[in-house]
Amino acid sequence: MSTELTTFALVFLFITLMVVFYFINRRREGHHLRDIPAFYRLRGAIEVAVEDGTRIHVAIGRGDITSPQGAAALIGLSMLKRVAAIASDSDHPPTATAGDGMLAILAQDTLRSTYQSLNLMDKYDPSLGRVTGLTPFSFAAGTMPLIIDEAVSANLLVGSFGNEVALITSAGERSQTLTFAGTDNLPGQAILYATAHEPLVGEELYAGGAYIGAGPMHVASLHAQDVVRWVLVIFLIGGALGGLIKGLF
Amino acid sequence: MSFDIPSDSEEDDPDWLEGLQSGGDDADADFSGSSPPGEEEGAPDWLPDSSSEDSRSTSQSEEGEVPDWLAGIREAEESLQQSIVDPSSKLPAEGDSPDWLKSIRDQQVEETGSMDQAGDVPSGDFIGRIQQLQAQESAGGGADETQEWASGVGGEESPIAGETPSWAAGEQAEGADGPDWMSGLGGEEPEPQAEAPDWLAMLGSQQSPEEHPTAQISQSPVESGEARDWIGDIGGDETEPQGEALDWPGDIGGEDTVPQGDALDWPGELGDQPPGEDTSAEMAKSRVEGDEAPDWLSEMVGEEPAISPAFPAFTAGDQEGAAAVVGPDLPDLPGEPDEVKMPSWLDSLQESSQDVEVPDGTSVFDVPVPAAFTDEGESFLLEPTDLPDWLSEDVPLEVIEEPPARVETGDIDIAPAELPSWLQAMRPVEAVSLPVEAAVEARPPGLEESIGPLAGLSNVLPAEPDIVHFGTPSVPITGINITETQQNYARLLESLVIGEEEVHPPRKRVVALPQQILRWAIAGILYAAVFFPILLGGQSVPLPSTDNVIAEIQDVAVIIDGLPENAPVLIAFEYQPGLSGEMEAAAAAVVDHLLNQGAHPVVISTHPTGPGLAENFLQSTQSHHLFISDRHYVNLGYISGGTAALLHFAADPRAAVPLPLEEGGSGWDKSPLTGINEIRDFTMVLVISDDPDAARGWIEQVGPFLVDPSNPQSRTPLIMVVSAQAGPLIYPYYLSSPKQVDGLVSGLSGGAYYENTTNRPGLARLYWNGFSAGLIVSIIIIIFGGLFNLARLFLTSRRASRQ
Amino acid sequence: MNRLKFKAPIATVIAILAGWGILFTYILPLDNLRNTVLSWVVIAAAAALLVGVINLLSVHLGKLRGETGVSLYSFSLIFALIITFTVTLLQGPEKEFPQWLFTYVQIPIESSLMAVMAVTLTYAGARLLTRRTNAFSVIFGIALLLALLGAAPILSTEITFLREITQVLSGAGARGILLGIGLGTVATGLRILLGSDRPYGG
Repeated sequence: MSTELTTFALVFLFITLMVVFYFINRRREGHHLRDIPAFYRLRGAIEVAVEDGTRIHVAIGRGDITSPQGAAALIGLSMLKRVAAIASDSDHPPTATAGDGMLAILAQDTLRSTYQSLNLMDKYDPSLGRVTGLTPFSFAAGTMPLIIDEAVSANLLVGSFGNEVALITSAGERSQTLTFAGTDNLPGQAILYATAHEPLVGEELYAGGAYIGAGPMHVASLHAQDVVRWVLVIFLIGGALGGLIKGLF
Repeated sequence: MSFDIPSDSEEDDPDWLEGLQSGGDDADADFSGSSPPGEEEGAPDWLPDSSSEDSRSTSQSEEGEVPDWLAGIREAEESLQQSIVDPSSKLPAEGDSPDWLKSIRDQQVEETGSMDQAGDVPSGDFIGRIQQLQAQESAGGGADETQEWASGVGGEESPIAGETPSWAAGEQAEGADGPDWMSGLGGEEPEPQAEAPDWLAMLGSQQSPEEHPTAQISQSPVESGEARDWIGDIGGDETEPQGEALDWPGDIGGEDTVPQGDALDWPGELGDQPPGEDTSAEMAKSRVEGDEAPDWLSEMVGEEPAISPAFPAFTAGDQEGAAAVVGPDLPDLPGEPDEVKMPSWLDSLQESSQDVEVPDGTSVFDVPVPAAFTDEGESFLLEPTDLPDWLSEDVPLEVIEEPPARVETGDIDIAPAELPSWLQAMRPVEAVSLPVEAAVEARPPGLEESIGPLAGLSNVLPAEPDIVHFGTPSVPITGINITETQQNYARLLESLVIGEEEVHPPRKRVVALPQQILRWAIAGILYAAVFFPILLGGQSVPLPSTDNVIAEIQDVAVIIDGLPENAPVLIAFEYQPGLSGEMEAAAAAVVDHLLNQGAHPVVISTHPTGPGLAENFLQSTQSHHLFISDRHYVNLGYISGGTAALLHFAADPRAAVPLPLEEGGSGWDKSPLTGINEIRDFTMVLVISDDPDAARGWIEQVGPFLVDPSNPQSRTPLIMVVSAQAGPLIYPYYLSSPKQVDGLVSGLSGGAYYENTTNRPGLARLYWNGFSAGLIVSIIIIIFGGLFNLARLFLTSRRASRQ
Repeated sequence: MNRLKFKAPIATVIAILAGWGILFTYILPLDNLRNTVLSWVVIAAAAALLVGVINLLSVHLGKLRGETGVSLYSFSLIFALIITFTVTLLQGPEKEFPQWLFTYVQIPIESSLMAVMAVTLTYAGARLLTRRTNAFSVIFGIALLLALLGAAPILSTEITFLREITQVLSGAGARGILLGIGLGTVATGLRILLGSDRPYGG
């Protein structure tokens, strides 16, 4: 029961901090976030893609929506929504790929709602959100031809990727496309650091929504994460010191 | 940095902007809640109440900030227009008049009693009346100026007559204190008779309210009746200013006193009045005669108005009253009538208009004279001696019985404007333009506008500029010189525009050859380094020494050694086919050890390919066991849902994986699943995974269900065989206290160590030479590549610094 | 909270209620309710898997009918899918032919992709300093070499202390990153529970 109470207390603290920062951020200008150059380059790449009439490929990974890996996929959906809002009217609209059926449905729904809000339903194509494979390597194998053959100029890999992300990034490099990637999988992060042009390491993935303007609550949640992180650090250090002192005496 | 999103809106607005907007909205709300001037609570009392002047306030609100007097002018014009169009329209009800006007009217009625009817008050052309006056005064001389002034005043007064000045209405309604000369304009409703100024009484109409000339005048919805009412009500003694004309100009003239009941006749001079009944004309004539009218007034009299000349003809009321009004005997101003000071403008007017004469029989301004004007004791009309001469002359007031005739533009002698030379130069070619006159003449006479703000008006100038001619010109335009450069620019622009709409095919990108060669070279070297040792066999590279105790691997061996025979062991295959080579090599010895202990494997997976991988693994690596070759193991298959499925299975395995048999019954009731009701009923749980997240899922979701709640010390062991990439992430779970993972075998090296420890030759031993060679080649390539790139960067920077 | 956009009120309400309900089943003694809902999730996930297969099929069928001509890869995929699905549906996954397909088609293909990935990673390791020249790239390279050196004996020499060093250092760093990822996961989930983030395209 103590674990459940601890969980509930943490959740309550998080929600309170999010709401507090939400209202605080409304009263001040700017987001007060550290610079992440990847998002600046991402914006430029999207603008260039729209101008060129090339496609932006958004991969939201293979994470199960019912698992913790689904959070990274939700971030990918938020970024897909923002990208689609900007580049939907391009000659080659953004395409979303997923390694899970449920994620593909969500991607299609996100694209459809974006097109609907932009009054571009005549340009909506359900195949813009697709499953390229149901296993990790088949997902990568199905994504690689899309990058090479469908006029992709920028790859946005935001989701849960494993080792197979190396194949996707290598396809991007061979087709001379810019790759922005972030994953919650640790081996995947290591691979992305070595292979992607702009990797998002650690929590930078979850900051994507705040940096591309997905909503004020994204910024508020980032600030709440910072506070809770410091709380955890204090508990960790305190616990370690306490154990050390207890062991000494 | 934030993206700019088209549309969507609302949520895309920055917070600070939204905050400003909300603040602005609040501010706007504050402002939006404010009422327009005149309707605010803090409006001065002398401003009219908007509720009492609904139409005027409505028109004012529609017109924005149009001042009252201008709005009144417009309304008067409209009323005159409609009166011309529909002479049969009747007077508005009494209730349409403002309260202050009504009060004045009532006051007049009470003070002066019945008033003679002036007959019908036709609306007429004030200009025409002026002309008539001119004709009549031509013998008297100086009437032109009078007419001009009168017409001008009439022209000014007509719209004004149709509207009650706000200040006057306010004075009347609220009885606010004001200058003495204005006090008479306001009305003290309770006792209007006692407090009405003399001049108002003098100007008060002697006619009955029913025969108020405004009844004829106000044939338009505009309150022409009100217009005349206020002018008529400016008198104090008259009851209803029907058919009466204002005679205060005549009173101002000073030659004639303004008796009670006299009507102000200068408005009647401006309108058409039937002869003999128009006292106002006489009044005007008496006043105006001998006075000099200003030049501008004389000019106006000589011109016919182009638009809506049908000013209401304010008929004179009682001729006698009018004459009396015209007379020099003006009613005294309230208080000290003899000591009333004239306004300076009136002085100047008097001096300048001494010689102006109003022709007889011309009703300059048919305005009912209210009783207030005839009240000697309360009228504030100026003494006749103070009026200009032209105002003091008697001018017969004419009662207009017929509606004023519509003014023909041909009758109006208006000189056409002369275009300046520079404007003429801007006119287009005659062939493609129509002259103004032609455009005007092209329009059928009497054509009324049907749309727009000028709806209902006729003889409106066309909205389109005459230089614009829609359609193909009769004369083709020639002589457009286009240079070759301009043609090239035009073609270029056209190509750019057309090219924008074309969808360009995707551009094929080719990887640079050096990069491809490098890739092939690395692949060749690496594959050769791994393949040839395996092909050649042998064990040139020693296996990991058992002298180096790896506790987590040895714990696995210890646990498996402690398993009873025929123990059901749950084996989860949570790796993907691509890493089956490593995982099979790492797990083969462990599963072999299990089978050697007599354990009965029960296979499950949360991956779609898991059951197939399990079958492949068992058949390819453990087929030497009869238990496996005879397929005596149970394959629970694939459970969908990922982590949720793990939790569901851990909570209730039988419900999560029902095993219906063809012959009936459940597979859970058969060996080796007999007695398995909860997941902790398994003797051991072995998870084979390449993904650290999948392994963590088993630890975090299933691990708590492996503890016996009745005996927390009793716990089903959980063993992990993971890939080398997941080992460091799962190792802390092994180190935790209490342990969440009881044993851990990590990667090919862990499998090799386990094989060496348990002395079980397996795939790890087979792959060990190739694995070592591949590692060495990879290290060399990475070191060499890193050093090469560092050197190149150093040389490049050095070269750049030199340059 | 007036800034929150409830574009699809019904879907949002359902999502919020379901999320909070499941969360409270972990705190309150509502195990039966939780298990019931989880069983629904399991069924929905299986249906989503099937939807994914249908989506895959439809996309490649569209490519076959597309303007770019018949794609050999799309045709191969559709052919293989139909064959595998039909055979497995008729015989069962544990039977011989489906197992043969899995053993001799799918596993080799994915293993080959893994081998290609090994080359890709080696190539990326070699060009690491070209792509990103900074101190962190140098540290990354050094850590990589240490991990490789400690994974197996080099020239019959086993460097065990390297294994322990990498195990501790990498484990500690991984733990820190996992804590941050956990916080981000919690924040993302709470945004869903609060209704401010609606990935269901409301």
